[in-house]
Amino acid sequence: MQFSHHIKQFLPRYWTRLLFAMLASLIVVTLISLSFGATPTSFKELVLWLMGESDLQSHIIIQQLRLPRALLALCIGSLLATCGAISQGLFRNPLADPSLIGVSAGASAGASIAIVFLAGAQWSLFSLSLVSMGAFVGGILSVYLVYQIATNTSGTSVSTMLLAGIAIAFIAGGVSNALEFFADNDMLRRMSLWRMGGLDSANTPRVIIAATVAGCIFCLMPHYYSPLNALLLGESEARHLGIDVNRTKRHLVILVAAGVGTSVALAGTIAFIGLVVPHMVRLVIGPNHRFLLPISAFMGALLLLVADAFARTVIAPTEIPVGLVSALLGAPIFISLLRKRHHYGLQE
Amino acid sequence: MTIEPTNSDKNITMPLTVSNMSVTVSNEHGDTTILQPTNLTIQSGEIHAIIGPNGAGKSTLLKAISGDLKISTGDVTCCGYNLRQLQARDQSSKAKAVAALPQFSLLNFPYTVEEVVALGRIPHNSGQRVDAQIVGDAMDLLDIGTLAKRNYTQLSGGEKQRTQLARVMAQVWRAQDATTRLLLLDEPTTALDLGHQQQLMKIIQDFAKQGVAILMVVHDINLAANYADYTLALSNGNTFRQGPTADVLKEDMLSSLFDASISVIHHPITHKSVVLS
Repeated sequence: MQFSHHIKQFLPRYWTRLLFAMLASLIVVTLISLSFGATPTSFKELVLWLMGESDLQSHIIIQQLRLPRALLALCIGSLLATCGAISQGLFRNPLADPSLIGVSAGASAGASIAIVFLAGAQWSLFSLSLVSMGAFVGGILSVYLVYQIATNTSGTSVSTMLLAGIAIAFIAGGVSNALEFFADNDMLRRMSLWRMGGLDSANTPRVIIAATVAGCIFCLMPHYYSPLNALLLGESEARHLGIDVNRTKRHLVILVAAGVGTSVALAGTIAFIGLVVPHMVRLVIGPNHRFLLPISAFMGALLLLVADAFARTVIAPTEIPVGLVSALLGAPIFISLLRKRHHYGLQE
Repeated sequence: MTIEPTNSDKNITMPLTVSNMSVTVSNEHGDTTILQPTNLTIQSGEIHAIIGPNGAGKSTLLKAISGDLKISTGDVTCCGYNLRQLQARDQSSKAKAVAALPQFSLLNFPYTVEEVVALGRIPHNSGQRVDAQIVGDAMDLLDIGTLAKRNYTQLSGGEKQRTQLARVMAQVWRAQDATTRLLLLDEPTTALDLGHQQQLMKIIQDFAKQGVAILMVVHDINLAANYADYTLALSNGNTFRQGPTADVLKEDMLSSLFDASISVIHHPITHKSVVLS
């Protein structure tokens, strides 16, 4: 209780400084993560690269392989955690997860369709493969369906959205399973690899796409701090506080669909970050979205970056799927927070 | 050429005018009118109580006025905003003048008491310092100042109720934020002990004296008898009786309204009616 008191007192007063500290620590951790990998890179080589004087091999390894991957990890991690925090606020449920509105299952189905039916086609758009595009379209389509099912003349019901999300996820899962049944061995392997998620396809155009989407969401996010704070009280209470509830819900669903859709298309399904990071942050600092969303974004970026560095090095040169690592790293921290929550005075 | 009065300057002095308002809900069995045409006018500083048996339409009336339920016929004007012509963009300026306390709170996120009360200032752009002052004053008034840093989800029912009331009062706290102010309360004394019931009703009375119009649904007829200037009795969605509280709360009226034997006696000290059942 004392601890969370201090944090809550501290947050508004030192917020700008904290933001700078978070950015600075992200830059430092990103640089450190660049030295991790199948070929160990010394700190000296890293400094030489920074000064533009490294040899060709380290230059290629750092600049063309590891840097895009680290940047993609930052973007995807922050997108997933932010979208998780937004969905938990929108559904007034600390256990909600973006996959609840059907994005992940729809994306998987979209990717499977692309793998099975468009196996021969080779063209791509902005270096996004057909599989990525299939995943994005599948994810967005599922959210659209879920939203339409839950919307009638009197507005959108979030509880119907949750249930519709489960139903759509089942349908999408059925489509994926049916395709697996008909797919040949090569297709099967591609599907299961895609589903495990990973950042190994990182390149500059993908980083640009992820960074653009993340940038847009972070710029729009501050408009929704107060509406989300009010929505936690309940929908009619938020309306009485002057919030246009239906419009807010529509915008937030679009933000979450775009954010999660993009990250699933670029890195497959990486579970856990969207659910647990916001929850962990909320346990420590409380549910005020003004602080919750930016800190979640920071923690999500950090967790995925560290997890990916581990994934690349633990049994190098083989890589472990990053979703596995993020779960194995984050879950113990989360469990220890849950066990200690009475110390924070934040029982739910 | 005549200029049409705009939405916001019509009835600007009147916190609430309800004319011939009815509410119809439709389900698979067809349409049911759950509130027959009702009329109600509230001036600044008045306290109005809505009474009636369970299912009489008390909460329906309040929800229709607060905009949670769609009205089928008639008109409602709250602090100058006609609900039928209310645009989405007017919502936030209406929220500066009209606050509503719901019967149940669904909040299950670990906000502190102070943060919950501060949510009441969302419609205003009065600045952090003013808001913090108002939040502090509202908490002190409702006797929850010592709970400011406590986690809302860990409070007792009565403490939660007082926190929510502090929130809606903070929303319409200052006269300078709105020309007329209206506070809608759905059973504000639920979950409160006798001491806090009395304290809360006194606070509401003082709030009304500062010019806030108050419309509240009450279960306890004696609260209406003691504190309301006017009372509206509803039965089966119909206006059963309406007028100054002393004229409405009569033995025969109450007995037929609640279908029970009820006596009304004179309080020797307050000189108000006391309802015994």
